[in-house]
Amino acid sequence: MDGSQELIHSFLQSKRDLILEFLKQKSGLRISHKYADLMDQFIRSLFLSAGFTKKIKGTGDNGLAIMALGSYGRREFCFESDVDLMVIHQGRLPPEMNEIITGAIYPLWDAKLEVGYSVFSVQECIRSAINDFRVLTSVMDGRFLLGSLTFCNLFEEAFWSRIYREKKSLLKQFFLYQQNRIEKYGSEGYFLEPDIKEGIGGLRDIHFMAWVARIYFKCKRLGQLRRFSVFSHFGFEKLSQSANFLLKVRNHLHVLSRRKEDHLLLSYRKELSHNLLYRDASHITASEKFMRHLYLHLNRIRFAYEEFLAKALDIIDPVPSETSPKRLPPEFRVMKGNLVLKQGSISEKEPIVILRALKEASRLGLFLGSEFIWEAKKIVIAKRKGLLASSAARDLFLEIILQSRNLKVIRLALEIGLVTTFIPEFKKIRNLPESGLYHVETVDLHCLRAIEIISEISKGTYDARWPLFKEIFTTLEHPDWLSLAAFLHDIGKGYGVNHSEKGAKLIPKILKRLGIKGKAFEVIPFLVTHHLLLTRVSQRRDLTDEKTAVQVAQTIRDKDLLQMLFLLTVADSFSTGPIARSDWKILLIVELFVKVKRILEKGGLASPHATKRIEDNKRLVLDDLAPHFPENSILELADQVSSRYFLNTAIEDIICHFQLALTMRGEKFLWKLKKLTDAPITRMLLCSFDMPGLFSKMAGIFALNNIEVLSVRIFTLKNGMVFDTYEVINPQDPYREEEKWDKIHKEFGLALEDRLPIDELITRKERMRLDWDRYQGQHVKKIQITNDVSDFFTVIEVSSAGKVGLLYKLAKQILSSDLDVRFARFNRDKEKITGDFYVRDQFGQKIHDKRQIDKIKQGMLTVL
Amino acid sequence: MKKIEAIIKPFKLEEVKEAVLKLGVSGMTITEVKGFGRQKGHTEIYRGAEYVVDFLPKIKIEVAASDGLVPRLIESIKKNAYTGEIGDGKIFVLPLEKAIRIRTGEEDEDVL
Repeated sequence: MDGSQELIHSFLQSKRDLILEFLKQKSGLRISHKYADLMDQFIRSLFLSAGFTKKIKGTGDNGLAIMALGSYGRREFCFESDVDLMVIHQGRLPPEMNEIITGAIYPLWDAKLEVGYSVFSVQECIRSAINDFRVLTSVMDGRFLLGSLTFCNLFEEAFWSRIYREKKSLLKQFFLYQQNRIEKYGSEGYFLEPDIKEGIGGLRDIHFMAWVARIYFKCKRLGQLRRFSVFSHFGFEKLSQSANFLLKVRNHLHVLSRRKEDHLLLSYRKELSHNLLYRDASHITASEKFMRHLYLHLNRIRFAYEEFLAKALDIIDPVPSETSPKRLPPEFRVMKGNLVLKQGSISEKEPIVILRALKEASRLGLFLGSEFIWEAKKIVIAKRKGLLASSAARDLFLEIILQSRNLKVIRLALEIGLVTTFIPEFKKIRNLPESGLYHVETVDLHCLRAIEIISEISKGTYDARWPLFKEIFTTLEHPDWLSLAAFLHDIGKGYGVNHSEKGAKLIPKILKRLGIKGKAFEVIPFLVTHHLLLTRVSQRRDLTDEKTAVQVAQTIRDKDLLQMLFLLTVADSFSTGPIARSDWKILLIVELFVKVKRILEKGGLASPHATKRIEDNKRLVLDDLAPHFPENSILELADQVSSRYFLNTAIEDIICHFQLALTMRGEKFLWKLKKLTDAPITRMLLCSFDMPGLFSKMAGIFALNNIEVLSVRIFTLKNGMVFDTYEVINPQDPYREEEKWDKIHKEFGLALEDRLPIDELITRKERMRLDWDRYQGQHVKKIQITNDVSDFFTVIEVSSAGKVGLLYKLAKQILSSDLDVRFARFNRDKEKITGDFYVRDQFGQKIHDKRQIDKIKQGMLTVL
Repeated sequence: MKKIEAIIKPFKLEEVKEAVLKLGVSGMTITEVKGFGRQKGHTEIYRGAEYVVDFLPKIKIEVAASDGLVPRLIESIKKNAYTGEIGDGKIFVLPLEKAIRIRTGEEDEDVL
């Protein structure tokens, strides 16, 4: 074993040197090759020192070979990659080989390498490869290491001839494999922490292309595909640059993690980007720069793969060629699903032909031919100014983007530089990785996808689960503005500032450049500024609180804007990823939308006038009270108060209620009486805590004391306080008014503690036949209970002839129906009373049950 | 050891999370769930057509804690998830037989 110890020692030393060399230099591929060479040398020496010679009995001279498989076979060999070996032999394996293999493999383990080895006869190997996809791909990358080269060549011949025969059935396996990969690696987790090898756009996509080239085009190297005309323009150099970059990252990852780690976890990101010589700049950190670079390559590989596949399949598995679709302009024809020029080459034509081709491809669900793609890029860059100046080109561009039914075509427009020609601002978000946890695409692709979602909504793709989307879409006056907003909603990313605001600032310039005029200059920046509003509010604020919806309504102000913002929010969520578009999150957004929409339709609470009044009143209260109370307490209290209160209450009353509330300190209630000078009326401003029957108690005490109530306003705060205002006729005996109010105060205190039998006292009073029913019968009694007025409350509207004590009875009736009065307005003049009671049931919900509504109605009618 | 499962209103998550972390709990699991209890779904009226939402969106929080911490945890979740209205949610406390940290193999209280 001494010999192998020495070999191990020298291998490890050379590996360490190689790693040091690697950390200093740039190439990924070169080091991988060097490391593979080092490994070849090590393994050959181990086998030889274990007694391997070409002349092993029983196999003949040409009966055995040892091959390197997988990434080692490809020489894309990273420092912690598995060492995959295969011993391939003819007939039976000579018995002494077992010992030799063990003798060579054990030292590999001692050198802390991950070793996988298999021993196969030729037939066994081919059978396994056909049955097991992993064996197949691994052997496809096989490379001769030692033994008989002649035998190895014979084996490869047999292997490949079988594979070529099976190529049809293998195609299915290939697609299944790729589909599983997309399912596994297309999620949020792998976007944030990409897998360099297996992830979307990872090295696997390149391997996959190479395998297809090998099996279906008999090209040993991917680049040899160039001789097929469909691939003559294919960007093999860029692809190999990207592969080189990924290999470098992968090797760094192996060095850093000291294991076969291909998953770029967050914890490695910082150090890795540092090792790769990225440095922090003012707007972008080293890690962000690195990730952006990484995504440039991942996206490039991903789309090259898609294009490769489309073209390869045309040849491998062609669809019967179709006749040219109707209404195709005469300059084009369709060839194998691709739009191509009928005559001549693109460079001879006006550059606008590219836009016309894209438009037709988008309309007909086609892709463009290779020449288009590769020539177009050069032409677009060279003729940038001309295109920008042409209004026809601008209009076509807008049409391609806004009417797109085909994401691939918009992506092509991005790839060939059309998007950045018309919207140079888009460069900033090209390949920019998102930092959140919910994303599955870089910002540019996310924006493209958002626009595609809008187009899907318009086609009714989501009708089964969310019919609402399309219903709203069809009512939009300017669907194009929505699409444009979707396209541009994240344009402000990458500046290191609030991206919604930044984006909104960039937009007017873009619109002007695109020749758009008019109100779009207000609408689109507005949509972009607020594109996160509905998502945020729906998840972070109480949707059963009317104020939540009112505040959103105040921001948005207009029903059409709300509808567009809603669809933009949906498109943004759906294009972000599976977590962001969960049914759960969309439900919350829909609920908020429906409620805000109602408020806007009803006007009132969120009209510009109301919004201003509410804001003014809040400010006035703060100004007035700030010298006497801590500002925080005032603001906290204001937060508990409904918008309805601020809107419908006189500022003097608001200040008074606030003063009372801020000085409560353990009292059960406080009130302030204001005697009017021009009428025999007193206004009572009451602050207390909500409890069942509070309202009926107050009304009862007034009735007992012969105080006629003219009007009532009740507001319940979110924290359980109540702000009430009663207007009553002054006590009958002007000389003992104060005494009377003291009595009322005392009785109310007792009533709150349930120490006053109000019912009994009132019944007794009724029996004394005092003047209770003066005006009865002169007015029609009317009760209406409706759920349409508000999404938050059931509203009971009452009108009837006025009579003393009626308020108490109504209040009592509401209480006995287990309803909670949140707001109320009650007015009485000599002739009649009218009242609106905004109620919820004991669980805080609206009353939907028809029987219950009828019962409440009947109960109230008996009182009237 | 106990496992605490709490069902709360979505917009209360941040407050509850902060409060629970303040008590020294090192981790929790959060799931978006839908369900109903006494608070049945509600009917939104959209352009005359009824839009029935039969399961309401809620958040489920799961926390494992040592017995000593449980009363404080419950108190804290109760306080921070409270709005006083229906649908504030529920807290369930389950006995926890064993806890193992996969990476290190540590067990029980060491894991929490």
